[in-house]
Amino acid sequence: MSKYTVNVNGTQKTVDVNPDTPLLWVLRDHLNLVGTKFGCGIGQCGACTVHIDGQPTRACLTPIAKVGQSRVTTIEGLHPTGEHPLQKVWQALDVPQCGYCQAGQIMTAAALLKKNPRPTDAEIDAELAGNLCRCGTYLRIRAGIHRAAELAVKESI
Amino acid sequence: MNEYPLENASRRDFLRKSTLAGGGLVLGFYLNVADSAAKRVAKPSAISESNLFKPNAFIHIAPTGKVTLISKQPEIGQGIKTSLPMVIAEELEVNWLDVQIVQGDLDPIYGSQSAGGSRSTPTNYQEFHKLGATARTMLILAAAEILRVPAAELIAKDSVVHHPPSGKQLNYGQLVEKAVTIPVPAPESVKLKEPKDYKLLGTRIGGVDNPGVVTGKPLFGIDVQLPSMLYATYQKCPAFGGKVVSANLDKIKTLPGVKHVFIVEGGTSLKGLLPGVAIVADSTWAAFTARKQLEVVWDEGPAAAQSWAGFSAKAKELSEQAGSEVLRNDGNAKQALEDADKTVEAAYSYPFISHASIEPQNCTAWFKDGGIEIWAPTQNPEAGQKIVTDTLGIPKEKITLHITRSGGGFGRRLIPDYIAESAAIAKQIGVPVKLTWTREDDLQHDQFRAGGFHFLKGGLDEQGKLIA
Repeated sequence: MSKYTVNVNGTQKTVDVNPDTPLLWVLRDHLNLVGTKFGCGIGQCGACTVHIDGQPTRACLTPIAKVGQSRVTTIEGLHPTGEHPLQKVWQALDVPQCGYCQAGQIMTAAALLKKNPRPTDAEIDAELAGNLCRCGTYLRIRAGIHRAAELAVKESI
Repeated sequence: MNEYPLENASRRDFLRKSTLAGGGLVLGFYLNVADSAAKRVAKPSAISESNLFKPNAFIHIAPTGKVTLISKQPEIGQGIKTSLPMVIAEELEVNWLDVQIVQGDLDPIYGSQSAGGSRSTPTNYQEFHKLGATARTMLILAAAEILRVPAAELIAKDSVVHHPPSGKQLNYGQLVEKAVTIPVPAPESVKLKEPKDYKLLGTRIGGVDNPGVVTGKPLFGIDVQLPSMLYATYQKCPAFGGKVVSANLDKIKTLPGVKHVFIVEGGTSLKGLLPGVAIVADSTWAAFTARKQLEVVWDEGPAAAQSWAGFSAKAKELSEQAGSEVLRNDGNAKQALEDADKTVEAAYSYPFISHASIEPQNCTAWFKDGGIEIWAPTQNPEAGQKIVTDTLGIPKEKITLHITRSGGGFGRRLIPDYIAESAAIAKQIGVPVKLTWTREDDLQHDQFRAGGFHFLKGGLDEQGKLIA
């Protein structure tokens, strides 16, 4: 066991875990941030996507020892009041079905919008290809990203 | 016969009045259950207010005007936690913004709580109209008594009862005290709304859990956290029905974070509690990591001899023989095939397929004082309760089952195997424990959509028309 102090959603958090413990389980079991989901454990489904220094990253494949002082952002910290354009639009368009994959979808989409404020369908499909939705909400996710892109321009975030 | 049948809802045909201990009224479904069960008030833990108007188990109206509607069936992404309460709200003439929706625990007072076969809406739709309309009627009767006017002159709208002739009005909260004294009206006296007057039904209302979904709030079974909770993983035999002969438990016990490791005896029924080795640790990762060093000697049983290659060979062999059963025989197929200008043959096969709900199977359980409390993402809570009684001998009345949101169902969560496993582990250790299946467990131990083989042969005439 070793102590690690990590920056999660702008707050320093210290945990005492094995160095190989994935960030996913540190978030879920040790920091009680359960919005980041376990789907496969091998980086195949995208349900555990978080931002590390702004980059969408699979938390299930990221050992805590590798996080260092990078900034970790989870769905809980995407926006201080849960009003990121994607979070608003996801509700307005009723994007989620079961909802389990949606934190990962939103985190990947948020990183996409940051680097590409008006993505095309093809760019959305390419960027979100690693985020599986077993309910098949892909068309609503795509529509949601387009709508959020418009909203973000209006709100000039 | 399915061992875990969905309850037949058709017997919930009429409404019945019975008096509650709390002095309120309950309008429960008439069920084939003991009166004591029907008379109990369902109390999901989220409802703590007193002095509520509870015209039935599904509706609670507080003096503040806050309306709480109970969702009885599991939310698995089909939207039932939103849609059935919408039906009540429509008939109740309540402002949707005044409504909060609470997931009901497993309780016979709600009738069947299974969600499967896309039947939750069709089997409940009419009944839920009546529930809402009955409550609305009682609120109008309460207003008539308070205002001393004929009920026929009153109109309910947006959580308020209006008396147009006088301009007087009372909101639902103001009517609670009187409403609890109003007898439940006979079902035939309750008038349902005309579909043309619907305000909510037919409109798109977002899922009631959407705000939580998009901000990462704990909603799903796997999100359950309890004080002093431990985390479990469970290794079953890769061959269905295999038993544990021995395992390197002494080694596993010494691994970091491991608190308990033991063999669960299990039974022989594939629909019961299957044998395996439970590892309980202080985190999910510690349990998963320890499991990598687990060595089990299995008595694999007859299923070990089965394989897809074997099934395929058997299917091919059978395809070359005459069929054992004729399902349909029109004309003379044999002759038509002989006369055909061209015959076409094709063999189709489809594999066993896992449901692969994206939230792996999981269940949290806490065994204490001879009873057990369970938190389960399940489509079939009744089956969860039954398997715990059947496999662990815990009586039904000592099982509390909380229904969580499910990360997908697709029929997989009609089967309660993971609930039995979690309960068996909890019973052994006596502290709260969350069992989480790995994705590999989920794919290996799914209740697969059966694979199959089809061999087809057809004949065409000179014009290319199908003749056999």
